[in-house]
Amino acid sequence: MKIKTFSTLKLFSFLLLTLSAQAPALAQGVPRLQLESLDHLTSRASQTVVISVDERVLKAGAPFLKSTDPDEAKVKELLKDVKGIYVKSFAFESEGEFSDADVQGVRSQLNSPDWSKIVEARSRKEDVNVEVFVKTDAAKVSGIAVIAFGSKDLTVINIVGFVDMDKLRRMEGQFGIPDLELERGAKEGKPQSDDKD
Amino acid sequence: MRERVILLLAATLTVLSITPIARPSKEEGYDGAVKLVETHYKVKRKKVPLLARAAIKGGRAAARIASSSIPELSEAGSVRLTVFEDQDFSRPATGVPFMSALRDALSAEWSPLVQLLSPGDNEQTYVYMREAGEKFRLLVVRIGRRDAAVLEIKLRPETLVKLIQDPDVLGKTLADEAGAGAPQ
Repeated sequence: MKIKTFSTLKLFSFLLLTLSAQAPALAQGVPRLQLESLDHLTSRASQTVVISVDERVLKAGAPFLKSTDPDEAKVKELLKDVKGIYVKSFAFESEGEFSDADVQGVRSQLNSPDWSKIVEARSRKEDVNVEVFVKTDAAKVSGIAVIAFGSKDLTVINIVGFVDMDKLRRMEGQFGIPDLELERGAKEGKPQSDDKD
Repeated sequence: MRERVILLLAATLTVLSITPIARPSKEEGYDGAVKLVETHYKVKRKKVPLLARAAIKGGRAAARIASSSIPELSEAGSVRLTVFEDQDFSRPATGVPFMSALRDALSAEWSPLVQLLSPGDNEQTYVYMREAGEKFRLLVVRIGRRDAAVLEIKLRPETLVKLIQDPDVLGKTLADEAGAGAPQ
Protein backbone atom coordinates (compact mmCIF):
# COMPACT_ATOMS: atom_id res chain seq x y z
CA MET A 1 0.00 0.00 0.00
CA LYS A 2 2.85 2.30 0.84
CA ILE A 3 4.42 1.56 -2.49
CA LYS A 4 1.13 2.26 -4.20
CA THR A 5 0.83 5.64 -2.43
CA PHE A 6 4.32 6.54 -3.46
CA SER A 7 3.55 5.63 -7.08
CA THR A 8 0.37 7.66 -7.01
CA LEU A 9 2.30 10.64 -5.72
CA LYS A 10 4.92 10.19 -8.39
CA LEU A 11 2.25 9.87 -11.02
CA PHE A 12 0.53 13.00 -9.70
CA SER A 13 3.83 14.89 -9.70
CA PHE A 14 4.58 13.68 -13.21
CA LEU A 15 1.15 14.74 -14.42
CA LEU A 16 1.52 18.20 -12.86
CA LEU A 17 4.90 18.70 -14.44
CA THR A 18 3.77 17.37 -17.80
CA LEU A 19 0.69 19.58 -17.86
CA SER A 20 2.64 22.69 -16.92
CA ALA A 21 5.26 21.95 -19.54
CA GLN A 22 2.58 21.56 -22.18
CA ALA A 23 0.76 24.79 -21.40
CA PRO A 24 2.10 26.56 -24.51
CA ALA A 25 1.09 23.65 -26.70
CA LEU A 26 -2.45 23.75 -25.32
CA ALA A 27 -2.66 27.36 -26.41
CA GLN A 28 -2.23 26.41 -30.07
CA GLY A 29 -5.92 26.93 -30.76
CA VAL A 30 -5.46 30.68 -30.33
CA PRO A 31 -5.80 32.57 -33.63
CA ARG A 32 -2.61 34.55 -32.94
CA LEU A 33 0.40 33.23 -34.80
CA GLN A 34 3.87 32.99 -33.35
CA LEU A 35 6.07 34.95 -35.73
CA GLU A 36 9.28 35.08 -33.70
CA SER A 37 10.81 32.49 -36.02
CA LEU A 38 11.06 35.25 -38.63
CA ASP A 39 13.03 37.62 -36.40
CA HIS A 40 16.37 36.43 -37.72
CA LEU A 41 15.45 37.96 -41.10
CA THR A 42 15.69 41.44 -39.61
CA SER A 43 19.47 41.46 -39.92
CA ARG A 44 19.29 40.51 -43.62
CA ALA A 45 16.42 42.72 -44.67
CA SER A 46 16.85 46.11 -46.25
CA GLN A 47 13.54 47.11 -44.70
CA THR A 48 11.65 45.62 -41.79
CA VAL A 49 8.22 46.60 -40.57
CA VAL A 50 6.76 45.05 -37.43
CA ILE A 51 3.34 46.11 -36.21
CA SER A 52 1.68 44.76 -33.06
CA VAL A 53 -1.63 46.33 -32.23
CA ASP A 54 -3.23 44.36 -29.45
CA GLU A 55 -6.67 44.21 -27.95
CA ARG A 56 -5.87 46.77 -25.24
CA VAL A 57 -5.47 49.57 -27.78
CA LEU A 58 -8.37 48.53 -29.96
CA LYS A 59 -10.73 47.94 -27.05
CA ALA A 60 -9.80 51.20 -25.36
CA GLY A 61 -9.72 53.43 -28.42
CA ALA A 62 -12.18 52.20 -31.03
CA PRO A 63 -15.38 52.76 -29.01
CA PHE A 64 -14.48 56.45 -28.61
CA LEU A 65 -14.26 57.07 -32.35
CA LYS A 66 -17.16 59.22 -33.43
CA SER A 67 -19.83 57.55 -35.52
CA THR A 68 -20.87 61.00 -36.73
CA ASP A 69 -17.47 61.67 -38.32
CA PRO A 70 -17.36 59.77 -41.65
CA ASP A 71 -13.63 58.97 -41.37
CA GLU A 72 -13.81 57.89 -37.77
CA ALA A 73 -16.97 55.91 -38.39
CA LYS A 74 -15.21 54.03 -41.18
CA VAL A 75 -12.33 53.10 -38.87
CA LYS A 76 -14.70 52.21 -36.08
CA GLU A 77 -16.58 49.87 -38.37
CA LEU A 78 -13.37 48.29 -39.64
CA LEU A 79 -12.10 47.63 -36.14
CA LYS A 80 -15.37 46.25 -34.84
CA ASP A 81 -14.75 42.74 -33.47
CA VAL A 82 -11.03 43.00 -34.29
CA LYS A 83 -8.89 41.99 -31.31
CA GLY A 84 -5.40 42.33 -32.68
CA ILE A 85 -3.42 43.25 -35.78
CA TYR A 86 0.05 41.80 -36.19
CA VAL A 87 2.24 42.38 -39.23
CA LYS A 88 5.80 41.40 -40.05
CA SER A 89 7.13 42.53 -43.37
CA PHE A 90 10.61 42.20 -44.81
CA ALA A 91 12.08 43.57 -48.04
CA PHE A 92 15.44 42.32 -49.24
CA GLU A 93 18.04 43.70 -51.62
CA SER A 94 18.61 40.37 -53.32
CA GLU A 95 16.94 37.02 -53.82
CA GLY A 96 17.49 34.03 -51.56
CA GLU A 97 17.63 35.94 -48.29
CA PHE A 98 14.75 33.93 -46.87
CA SER A 99 13.99 30.28 -47.37
CA ASP A 100 11.00 28.01 -47.85
CA ALA A 101 11.59 26.90 -44.26
CA ASP A 102 10.87 30.45 -43.07
CA VAL A 103 7.53 30.45 -44.88
CA GLN A 104 6.84 26.88 -43.82
CA GLY A 105 7.40 27.82 -40.19
CA VAL A 106 4.38 30.10 -40.42
CA ARG A 107 2.36 27.83 -42.68
CA SER A 108 2.76 24.89 -40.31
CA GLN A 109 0.85 26.81 -37.64
CA LEU A 110 -2.05 27.01 -40.06
CA ASN A 111 -2.22 23.28 -40.64
CA SER A 112 -4.72 22.61 -37.87
CA PRO A 113 -8.32 21.75 -38.84
CA ASP A 114 -9.68 25.10 -37.59
CA TRP A 115 -7.62 26.98 -40.15
CA SER A 116 -8.62 26.78 -43.79
CA LYS A 117 -6.98 28.26 -46.82
CA ILE A 118 -9.48 30.39 -48.69
CA VAL A 119 -7.21 32.10 -51.20
CA GLU A 120 -4.09 30.99 -52.97
CA ALA A 121 -2.74 33.18 -55.74
CA ARG A 122 0.56 32.67 -57.44
CA SER A 123 2.00 34.65 -60.28
CA ARG A 124 5.53 34.03 -61.45
CA LYS A 125 5.16 36.87 -63.88
CA GLU A 126 4.47 39.36 -61.15
CA ASP A 127 6.63 37.53 -58.60
CA VAL A 128 3.88 37.33 -56.03
CA ASN A 129 2.42 34.52 -53.95
CA VAL A 130 -0.49 35.19 -51.65
CA GLU A 131 -2.14 32.72 -49.32
CA VAL A 132 -5.04 33.68 -47.10
CA PHE A 133 -6.17 31.46 -44.23
CA VAL A 134 -9.20 31.83 -42.01
CA LYS A 135 -9.67 30.40 -38.55
CA THR A 136 -13.14 29.44 -37.50
CA ASP A 137 -14.42 28.59 -34.06
CA ALA A 138 -17.95 27.25 -33.84
CA ALA A 139 -18.65 28.39 -37.39
CA LYS A 140 -17.50 31.91 -36.58
CA VAL A 141 -14.39 33.53 -38.01
CA SER A 142 -11.94 34.24 -35.20
CA GLY A 143 -8.82 35.12 -37.12
CA ILE A 144 -7.22 35.56 -40.49
CA ALA A 145 -3.68 35.04 -41.67
CA VAL A 146 -2.02 36.16 -44.87
CA ILE A 147 1.33 34.99 -46.15
CA ALA A 148 2.54 37.03 -49.09
CA PHE A 149 5.94 36.65 -50.63
CA GLY A 150 7.93 37.28 -53.75
CA SER A 151 11.59 36.56 -54.40
CA LYS A 152 12.70 39.65 -52.47
CA ASP A 153 9.97 40.19 -49.92
CA LEU A 154 7.99 38.38 -47.29
CA THR A 155 4.96 39.62 -45.39
CA VAL A 156 2.87 37.86 -42.78
CA ILE A 157 -0.34 39.43 -41.55
CA ASN A 158 -2.33 38.05 -38.67
CA ILE A 159 -5.58 39.64 -37.63
CA VAL A 160 -7.28 38.25 -34.54
CA GLY A 161 -11.05 38.58 -34.30
CA PHE A 162 -13.71 38.71 -36.92
CA VAL A 163 -12.39 39.69 -40.33
CA ASP A 164 -13.81 38.64 -43.65
CA MET A 165 -12.21 39.14 -47.04
CA ASP A 166 -14.12 42.33 -47.66
CA LYS A 167 -12.88 43.81 -44.40
CA LEU A 168 -9.34 42.63 -45.11
CA ARG A 169 -9.41 44.35 -48.49
CA ARG A 170 -10.61 47.56 -46.87
CA MET A 171 -7.86 47.35 -44.28
CA GLU A 172 -5.14 47.17 -46.93
CA GLY A 173 -2.86 50.15 -46.73
CA GLN A 174 -3.91 50.87 -43.14
CA PHE A 175 -2.79 49.65 -39.71
CA GLY A 176 0.50 48.49 -41.20
CA ILE A 177 -1.21 46.07 -43.57
CA PRO A 178 0.49 46.46 -46.93
CA ASP A 179 -1.49 46.83 -50.10
CA LEU A 180 -1.56 43.27 -51.38
CA GLU A 181 -4.02 44.08 -54.13
CA LEU A 182 -6.28 41.32 -52.92
CA GLU A 183 -9.03 42.92 -54.97
CA ARG A 184 -7.56 41.55 -58.15
CA GLY A 185 -6.15 38.40 -56.56
CA ALA A 186 -7.60 34.96 -56.67
CA LYS A 187 -11.25 34.31 -56.18
CA GLU A 188 -12.20 33.41 -52.67
CA GLY A 189 -12.34 29.70 -51.91
CA LYS A 190 -10.96 28.73 -55.29
CA PRO A 191 -7.26 28.09 -55.18
CA GLN A 192 -5.62 29.17 -58.40
CA SER A 193 -3.03 27.28 -60.30
CA ASP A 194 0.33 28.76 -61.09
CA ASP A 195 0.40 31.55 -63.60
CA LYS A 196 3.05 30.23 -65.89
CA ASP A 197 3.52 33.11 -68.26
CA MET B 1 8.17 12.03 4.45
CA ARG B 2 9.86 11.34 1.14
CA GLU B 3 6.52 11.39 -0.63
CA ARG B 4 5.72 14.78 0.88
CA VAL B 5 9.03 16.15 -0.29
CA ILE B 6 8.40 14.89 -3.82
CA LEU B 7 4.90 16.31 -3.81
CA LEU B 8 6.12 19.65 -2.45
CA LEU B 9 8.88 19.75 -5.04
CA ALA B 10 6.45 18.97 -7.85
CA ALA B 11 3.98 21.59 -6.65
CA THR B 12 6.75 24.20 -6.35
CA LEU B 13 8.05 23.43 -9.81
CA THR B 14 4.55 23.63 -11.23
CA VAL B 15 3.87 26.97 -9.60
CA LEU B 16 7.23 28.29 -10.77
CA SER B 17 6.61 27.12 -14.32
CA ILE B 18 3.25 28.88 -14.60
CA THR B 19 4.16 32.03 -12.69
CA PRO B 20 5.82 34.74 -14.77
CA ILE B 21 9.30 35.34 -13.46
CA ALA B 22 9.53 38.80 -11.93
CA ARG B 23 12.07 40.80 -13.88
CA PRO B 24 14.43 42.98 -11.94
CA SER B 25 13.17 46.54 -11.76
CA LYS B 26 14.38 48.59 -14.68
CA GLU B 27 14.71 52.25 -15.27
CA GLU B 28 11.42 53.69 -16.43
CA GLY B 29 10.92 53.53 -20.19
CA TYR B 30 11.92 57.00 -21.27
CA ASP B 31 14.98 57.33 -19.03
CA GLY B 32 16.06 53.81 -19.84
CA ALA B 33 15.73 54.45 -23.57
CA VAL B 34 17.70 57.71 -23.41
CA LYS B 35 20.46 56.03 -21.42
CA LEU B 36 20.51 53.15 -23.87
CA VAL B 37 20.95 55.45 -26.87
CA GLU B 38 23.82 57.16 -25.05
CA THR B 39 25.62 53.96 -24.14
CA HIS B 40 24.82 52.00 -27.28
CA TYR B 41 26.15 54.68 -29.62
CA LYS B 42 28.41 56.57 -27.22
CA VAL B 43 26.63 59.85 -27.91
CA LYS B 44 25.57 62.79 -25.81
CA ARG B 45 22.10 64.21 -25.53
CA LYS B 46 21.20 67.77 -26.31
CA LYS B 47 19.03 69.94 -24.10
CA VAL B 48 15.70 70.58 -25.75
CA PRO B 49 14.37 74.10 -25.56
CA LEU B 50 10.87 74.52 -24.24
CA LEU B 51 9.84 75.81 -27.63
CA ALA B 52 10.45 72.44 -29.22
CA ARG B 53 8.35 70.76 -26.62
CA ALA B 54 5.67 73.35 -27.17
CA ALA B 55 5.61 72.39 -30.84
CA ILE B 56 4.34 68.95 -30.09
CA LYS B 57 1.96 70.26 -27.48
CA GLY B 58 0.63 72.54 -30.15
CA GLY B 59 -0.66 69.44 -31.82
CA ARG B 60 0.50 69.76 -35.40
CA ALA B 61 0.63 65.96 -35.59
CA ALA B 62 -2.91 65.79 -34.37
CA ALA B 63 -3.89 68.35 -36.95
CA ARG B 64 -2.66 66.03 -39.63
CA ILE B 65 -4.76 63.17 -38.44
CA ALA B 66 -7.90 65.02 -37.49
CA SER B 67 -8.26 68.60 -38.52
CA SER B 68 -11.29 69.03 -36.33
CA SER B 69 -9.43 68.09 -33.17
CA ILE B 70 -6.19 70.02 -33.22
CA PRO B 71 -5.70 70.15 -29.44
CA GLU B 72 -5.79 66.40 -29.07
CA LEU B 73 -2.11 65.93 -28.46
CA SER B 74 -1.97 69.04 -26.35
CA GLU B 75 -4.30 67.28 -23.96
CA ALA B 76 -1.69 64.66 -23.62
CA GLY B 77 -0.47 66.26 -20.43
CA SER B 78 3.14 65.33 -20.48
CA VAL B 79 5.75 65.27 -23.17
CA ARG B 80 9.34 64.28 -22.56
CA LEU B 81 11.87 64.69 -25.30
CA THR B 82 15.57 64.18 -25.76
CA VAL B 83 17.38 64.80 -29.00
CA PHE B 84 20.83 63.83 -30.17
CA GLU B 85 22.19 65.96 -32.97
CA ASP B 86 25.03 65.65 -35.43
CA GLN B 87 26.61 62.57 -33.93
CA ASP B 88 27.58 59.23 -35.38
CA PHE B 89 24.91 56.57 -35.06
CA SER B 90 26.40 54.26 -37.66
CA ARG B 91 28.75 52.51 -35.22
CA PRO B 92 27.15 50.94 -32.18
CA ALA B 93 29.49 50.36 -29.26
CA THR B 94 28.29 46.78 -28.90
CA GLY B 95 27.46 44.00 -31.33
CA VAL B 96 23.94 43.69 -29.95
CA PRO B 97 21.28 45.05 -32.32
CA PHE B 98 19.65 48.15 -30.92
CA MET B 99 16.25 46.54 -31.43
CA SER B 100 17.09 43.74 -28.97
CA ALA B 101 18.89 46.07 -26.59
CA LEU B 102 15.85 48.35 -26.40
CA ARG B 103 13.51 45.43 -25.78
CA ASP B 104 15.77 44.29 -22.93
CA ALA B 105 16.07 47.80 -21.53
CA LEU B 106 12.32 48.24 -21.16
CA SER B 107 10.20 46.64 -18.49
CA ALA B 108 7.60 44.08 -19.47
CA GLU B 109 4.79 46.63 -19.26
CA TRP B 110 6.01 48.23 -22.45
CA SER B 111 4.76 46.48 -25.58
CA PRO B 112 6.18 47.06 -29.03
CA LEU B 113 3.66 48.75 -31.29
CA VAL B 114 5.68 49.68 -34.35
CA GLN B 115 9.22 48.81 -35.37
CA LEU B 116 10.61 50.11 -38.64
CA LEU B 117 14.15 49.36 -39.71
CA SER B 118 15.85 50.50 -42.83
CA PRO B 119 19.58 49.73 -42.47
CA GLY B 120 20.39 51.08 -45.95
CA ASP B 121 19.12 54.50 -44.96
CA ASN B 122 20.45 54.11 -41.41
CA GLU B 123 17.01 54.66 -40.00
CA GLN B 124 15.34 52.92 -37.10
CA THR B 125 12.05 53.83 -35.50
CA TYR B 126 10.58 52.08 -32.49
CA VAL B 127 7.26 52.85 -30.88
CA TYR B 128 6.42 51.18 -27.59
CA MET B 129 3.30 51.66 -25.53
CA ARG B 130 2.02 50.98 -22.07
CA GLU B 131 -1.23 51.63 -20.33
CA ALA B 132 -1.47 54.67 -18.08
CA GLY B 133 -4.89 54.61 -16.48
CA GLU B 134 -7.38 55.46 -19.19
CA LYS B 135 -4.64 56.74 -21.47
CA PHE B 136 -1.57 55.27 -23.09
CA ARG B 137 2.04 56.27 -22.79
CA LEU B 138 3.87 56.13 -26.06
CA LEU B 139 7.63 55.86 -26.23
CA VAL B 140 9.13 56.75 -29.59
CA VAL B 141 12.80 56.16 -30.32
CA ARG B 142 14.01 57.29 -33.71
CA ILE B 143 17.57 56.91 -34.82
CA GLY B 144 19.03 58.16 -38.05
CA ARG B 145 22.54 58.40 -39.46
CA ARG B 146 23.47 61.61 -37.60
CA ASP B 147 20.48 62.38 -35.36
CA ALA B 148 18.23 60.62 -32.90
CA ALA B 149 15.27 61.42 -30.71
CA VAL B 150 13.58 59.82 -27.75
CA LEU B 151 10.06 60.98 -27.04
CA GLU B 152 7.48 59.99 -24.48
CA ILE B 153 3.95 61.22 -24.75
CA LYS B 154 0.66 60.39 -23.10
CA LEU B 155 -2.23 59.90 -25.50
CA ARG B 156 -5.91 59.28 -25.30
CA PRO B 157 -6.79 55.84 -26.67
CA GLU B 158 -8.85 57.19 -29.56
CA THR B 159 -5.94 59.39 -30.64
CA LEU B 160 -3.67 56.38 -30.57
CA VAL B 161 -6.10 54.37 -32.68
CA LYS B 162 -6.15 57.17 -35.25
CA LEU B 163 -2.37 57.35 -35.28
CA ILE B 164 -1.92 53.62 -35.80
CA GLN B 165 -4.01 53.81 -38.91
CA ASP B 166 -0.77 54.85 -40.51
CA PRO B 167 1.93 53.31 -38.32
CA ASP B 168 4.61 53.91 -40.94
CA VAL B 169 4.49 57.60 -40.22
CA LEU B 170 3.48 57.39 -36.58
CA GLY B 171 6.97 57.39 -35.11
CA LYS B 172 8.41 59.66 -37.74
CA THR B 173 5.63 62.19 -37.42
CA LEU B 174 5.82 62.37 -33.66
CA ALA B 175 9.61 62.62 -33.63
CA ASP B 176 9.63 65.24 -36.35
CA GLU B 177 6.88 67.23 -34.68
CA ALA B 178 8.90 67.19 -31.53
CA GLY B 179 11.56 69.14 -33.30
CA ALA B 180 13.95 66.26 -33.75
CA GLY B 181 13.84 66.60 -37.48
CA ALA B 182 14.30 63.90 -40.02
CA PRO B 183 17.43 61.88 -39.59
CA GLN B 184 19.98 62.79 -42.21
